[in-house]
Amino acid sequence: MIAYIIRRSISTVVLLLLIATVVFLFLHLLPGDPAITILGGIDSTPDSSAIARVHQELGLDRPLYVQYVDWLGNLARFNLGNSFTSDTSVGAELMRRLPRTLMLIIPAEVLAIVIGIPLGMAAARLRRTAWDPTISALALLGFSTPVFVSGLLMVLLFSLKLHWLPSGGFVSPADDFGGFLRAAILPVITLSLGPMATTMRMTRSSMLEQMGLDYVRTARSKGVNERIVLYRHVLRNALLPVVTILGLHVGFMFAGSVLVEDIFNWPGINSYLLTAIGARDYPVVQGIVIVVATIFILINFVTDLSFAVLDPRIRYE
Amino acid sequence: MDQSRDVVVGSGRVERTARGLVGRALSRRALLKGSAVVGAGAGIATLLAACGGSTAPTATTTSSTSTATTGGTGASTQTTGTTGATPTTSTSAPPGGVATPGAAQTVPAGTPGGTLNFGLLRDPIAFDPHIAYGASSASLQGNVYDTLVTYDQQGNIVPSLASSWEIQNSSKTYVFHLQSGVTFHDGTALTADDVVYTFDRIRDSATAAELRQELANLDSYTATDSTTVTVNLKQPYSVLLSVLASQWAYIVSKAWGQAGNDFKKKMNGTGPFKLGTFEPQVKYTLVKNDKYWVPNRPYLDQIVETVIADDTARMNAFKSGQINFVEYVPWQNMDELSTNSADKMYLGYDTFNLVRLNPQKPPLDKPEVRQALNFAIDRKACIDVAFGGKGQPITVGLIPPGSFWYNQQLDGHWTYDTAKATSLLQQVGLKPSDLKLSFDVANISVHSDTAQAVQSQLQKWGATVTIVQQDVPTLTKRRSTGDYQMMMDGLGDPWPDPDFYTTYFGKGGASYAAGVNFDDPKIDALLDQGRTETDNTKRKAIYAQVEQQLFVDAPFIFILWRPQVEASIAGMQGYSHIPGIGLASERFMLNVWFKK
Repeated sequence: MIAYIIRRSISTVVLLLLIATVVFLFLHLLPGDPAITILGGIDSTPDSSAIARVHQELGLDRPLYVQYVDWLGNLARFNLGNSFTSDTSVGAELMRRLPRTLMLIIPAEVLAIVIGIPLGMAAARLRRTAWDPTISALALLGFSTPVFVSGLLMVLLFSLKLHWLPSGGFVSPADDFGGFLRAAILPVITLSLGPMATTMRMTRSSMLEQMGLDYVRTARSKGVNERIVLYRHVLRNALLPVVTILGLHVGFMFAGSVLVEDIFNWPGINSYLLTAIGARDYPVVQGIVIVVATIFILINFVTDLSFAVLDPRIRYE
Repeated sequence: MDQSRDVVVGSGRVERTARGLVGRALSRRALLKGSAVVGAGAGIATLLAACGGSTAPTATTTSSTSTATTGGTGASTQTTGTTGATPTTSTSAPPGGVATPGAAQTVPAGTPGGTLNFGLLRDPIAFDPHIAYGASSASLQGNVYDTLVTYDQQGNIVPSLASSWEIQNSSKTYVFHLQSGVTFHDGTALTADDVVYTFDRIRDSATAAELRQELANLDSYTATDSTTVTVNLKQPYSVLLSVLASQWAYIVSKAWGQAGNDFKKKMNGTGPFKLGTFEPQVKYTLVKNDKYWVPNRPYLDQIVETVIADDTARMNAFKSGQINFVEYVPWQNMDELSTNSADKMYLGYDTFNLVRLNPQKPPLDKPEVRQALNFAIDRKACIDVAFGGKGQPITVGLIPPGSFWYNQQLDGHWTYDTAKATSLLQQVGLKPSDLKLSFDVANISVHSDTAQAVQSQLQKWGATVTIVQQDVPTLTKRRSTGDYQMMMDGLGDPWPDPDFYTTYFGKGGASYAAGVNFDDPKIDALLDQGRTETDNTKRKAIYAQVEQQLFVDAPFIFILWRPQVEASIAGMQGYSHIPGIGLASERFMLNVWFKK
């Protein structure tokens, strides 16, 4: 197990280095010039000497490999540099923004689990009744409705018609917890719908597969209580693929929260990323990609390890 | 169509400002010859008093050698009788007799207090008061800083930090007298040295200031005493006051700047609001400056500006009441807003959509081809497709119809005439199917919708047009290096003086000519003439010649004026979308108040 963790850690570092390099290269290959944004953007027409001066200030006049080595050196010291446009520390800004995105993703994931898994189990148990197709149809709807449709429909209903909840914006829970909850409800639900549906579908099909296996018949023939059969035997074995899906959800959620943050004007990590791409703010884009990639890799790592807990047959050597 | 038709729609009523009427009712010559009137005319003041309360003439009358003409779209007058439907109110000068920027002087009519919750389209990026960051930053910097002279709600130039000025020496010397009792937000008093420092900063190429070329026309400028600044010009420069009133000419503090404060990260102005707490890209708070030099202004306690980039999210925030003022209202929402009595809409047709043509890239090097493209476009159809019919065709140039400077005799030059377009091509031995054009378009819906309409019209005519969709940084890079054949763009005039043609078509003009090496000596000579001429009637005739030469050069496909719309709740008073100023009207929130 220890050896496995060490090996995984080394490969993680190599993977991150690869991601860092690719992001750096692609970003610098993109047409566009951060200096133009700093000097005003689409409404401005700076002359070439002003652009050259900004390049010098930002160190963009240096050869690309020098910039690359410089950036990697800082990265190794956990220094993500400063934003080109606002000249503030990318690390500090991420510390402020990342929790806000996690305030959407974590509750959405929890919602997906606590609703998706029981619904999936119910659909599996009630297979020969009208409940199964009903729940499955709902899941299909939840899965296939894009967030910008479900999100806007909810805004239309709960904000504009009923005036129950705000249509967007962020309230810091430290300032006003009630206000934060009200602001977070719609985006969290919007974000959770897709993962909730996949969790439900995966739980259902995985349970059905397990229920047809020999050990279940054996357990039942031994006279084991049906509840114990379902919850202790079937569910435990059925959860393996579900846990895999949950790990993958994190990636899905980061992607989904790009649109959700946009629709609900939620100042998280993704709106920061989008603005930075639009401004060609290299340090910010690179910093966010590295941090999100790290999170994604770590979560998949934890997911893999959790298999060993769920299924004693799995051992990491 | 009259561009001045700033329609305030609310409670089912439609008000038209009578600016055009006032402007035309007076002979410009009479104005030029009469004794100088600097500042907002009372005639305009009364118009502004529609919200109730009495008005007073602000006119700081000087017995100078020459007249300060407005150079704006309207006229400053002493006339008290109004031509419009507004009631004439009693006039009584308040003590001090200072002018209110963005409005003619009114005795306090508004109710103090309240918060303006403002939904911004774009992040203002940074605070540098001399760099152009776009309209969204005008609302931020414009309410924190003041300019020497400013605009009233009709677009006339009126006093601000300069309470009066004289124009001497055949219009080659301007003497500005500063308003007394003005302090910066850090407590230091405004002096003439601050103005000189500001001019220095704008002219310093290290600043990359928007007005660097314009202020290069100054020969010298000195602080004659602590409240007087004398500006000497190499030759008459009729545009100077318009330039000094623009949203890139804010007066900054010398002591503060020299102490090493970063203008991009902090603000220290003399304006009605002070910068409060803010989080870049998210929210900016401006708080009332209790020591503002204009009595009883501002009304609002604070302005909270929230960046909501997504059109739908921004409009939803407005409709659900989270914000009470919103900019860049999509045209799709216009009908709904104008019929809803709970809202007010502020509309101007002051942003234009155009296609840049690169004269360095064949076949666009031939003027006939560029003219032909202009005749091959059905502007009406473009407006219908891209803006649901809410727009106005450009049939002459970039001066908005309704402006004093609009040359009515040229109206209707650019029309939809494919036969003419084809025959122009034949003159250079081409036919429509020979045209294979690449068309750069940014992923902004008001750009890309128009571009698709243009593409389909040119295809119908027989040309092949390939749209190259890209994000804004890619486009701005190509624009600055001239790396395009055709490029979709949307722009606004920097000030209501036709000398703005210089920034596009003058030699080295940063907004167009520099990128593609466009240079027409005829236009350069005319623009020079226009700048140095001081008689507005003669100037107008000069710009008619400029426009006629542009008919030949056709550097753009001139397409349409698009609707530029802000909206507020019905109870908001004191805001107007100023003709010729457009979205930069958001600089003037000092006059805004809310009905209880």
